[in-house]
Amino acid sequence: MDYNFAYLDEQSKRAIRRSLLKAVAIPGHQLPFASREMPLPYGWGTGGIQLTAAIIGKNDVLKVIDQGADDTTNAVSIRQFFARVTGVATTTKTVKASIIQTRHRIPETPLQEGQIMVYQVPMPEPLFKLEPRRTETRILHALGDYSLMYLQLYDHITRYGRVAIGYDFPVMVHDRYLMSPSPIPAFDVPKMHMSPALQIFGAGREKQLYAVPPYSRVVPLAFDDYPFAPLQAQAPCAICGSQHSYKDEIILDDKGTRQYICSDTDYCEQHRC
Amino acid sequence: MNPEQQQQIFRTLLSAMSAPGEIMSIPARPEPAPLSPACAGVCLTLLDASSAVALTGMAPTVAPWLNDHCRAPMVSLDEAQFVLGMGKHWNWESSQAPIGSEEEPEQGATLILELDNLNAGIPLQLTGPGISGTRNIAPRLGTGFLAFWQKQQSQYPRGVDLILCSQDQCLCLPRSVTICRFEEA
Repeated sequence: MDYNFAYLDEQSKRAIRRSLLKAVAIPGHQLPFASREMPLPYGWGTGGIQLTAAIIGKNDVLKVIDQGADDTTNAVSIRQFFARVTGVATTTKTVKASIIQTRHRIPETPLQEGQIMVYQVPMPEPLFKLEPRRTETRILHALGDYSLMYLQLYDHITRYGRVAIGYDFPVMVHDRYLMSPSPIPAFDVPKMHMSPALQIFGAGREKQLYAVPPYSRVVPLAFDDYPFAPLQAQAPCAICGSQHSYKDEIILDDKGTRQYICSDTDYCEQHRC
Repeated sequence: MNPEQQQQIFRTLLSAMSAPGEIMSIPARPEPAPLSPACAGVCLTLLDASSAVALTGMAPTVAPWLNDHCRAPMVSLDEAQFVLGMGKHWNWESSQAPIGSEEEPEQGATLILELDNLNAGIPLQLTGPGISGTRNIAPRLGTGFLAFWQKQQSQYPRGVDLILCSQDQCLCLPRSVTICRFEEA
């Protein structure tokens, strides 16, 4: 059976395209969009898939990563899905991709102008855990009142002695909107600041999308005396030896022996030889 | 215009909106239209039955053409999501186009303006998201544009976004960009 190019019908794509242009014009602001049912459940990247479907064309080269890896279930199925419904070329190499759909990582290889990052977002509202009512968070965004989040950081410092947020670290975009960078590790957040690539975010279940244009200010929340300090494994990659990449922790036996390897499989391959 | 051409034009628009002020060519050449090729391509790519459009100062042939090709509902200026107008006649002093609310700034309209020229006007300097450093442009916009934009900036995130079209080229000015007059040193 033949599907329409990129699965979605043209009218749905057009609605997403109109919203995307507005999202780029108002960096960090969440917009509602008519999220469609996709042939996979919510939580598996339906938001990201719809954005990719709305932007992708015949000449694109698509890379899909899941926690940095090109070869995990979610990445493989989404890549195969788009190969089937668009026929576009796919790649695992960050430098060759024009569109990179990602779940929870930004590649280690620096992004370039013209590339588009598509983030899969489970919960687009950064204030969700502090104020569950959408009607209220909208008002807080309108007022630019983010004192709740600062209070949360302060609470962490008094309890744990540091800001204990390892992923989904709240950021300010273009000095106006508090934004969830999606559940990427705090380690990746500095890569968003003044990135030459366009970054777009889709949350299918929550029916929201937002964007960060290239060369935009993306600043993690912090205090002067408690600056932003992301954690990183203090061991080199067991495969390629990289000291600088973000690592996955692998438990090797029942005695607690562990090994650290790069979470970004493409980066690890480049550095192996 | 086929879906493939629409996708190409959309990607051009997405790049243009992500790089404010950069002049981009609209790739596909649509069928004859009472608009410039760029403006017609933008309309055929973005407009359909669920996008409300207002026309100001356009030729009388534009409305029937839009209805035939996009089925876009015609509304008054203060209800429009998209506004088509002529750049040199646009009344910047008393613009009626919606600018959205503090909670829903995305309700601010997109103005698609036809210009004689994208580089023979007053030199302007842009800074802001999408621009590494500064970018200089000189679209021929009517008087009062700079004052309008500075007032709009004070109302950010409310505001309108511009798609300026001339022949087969376009440039975008999203509301996030800061514009000042360019004085050569």
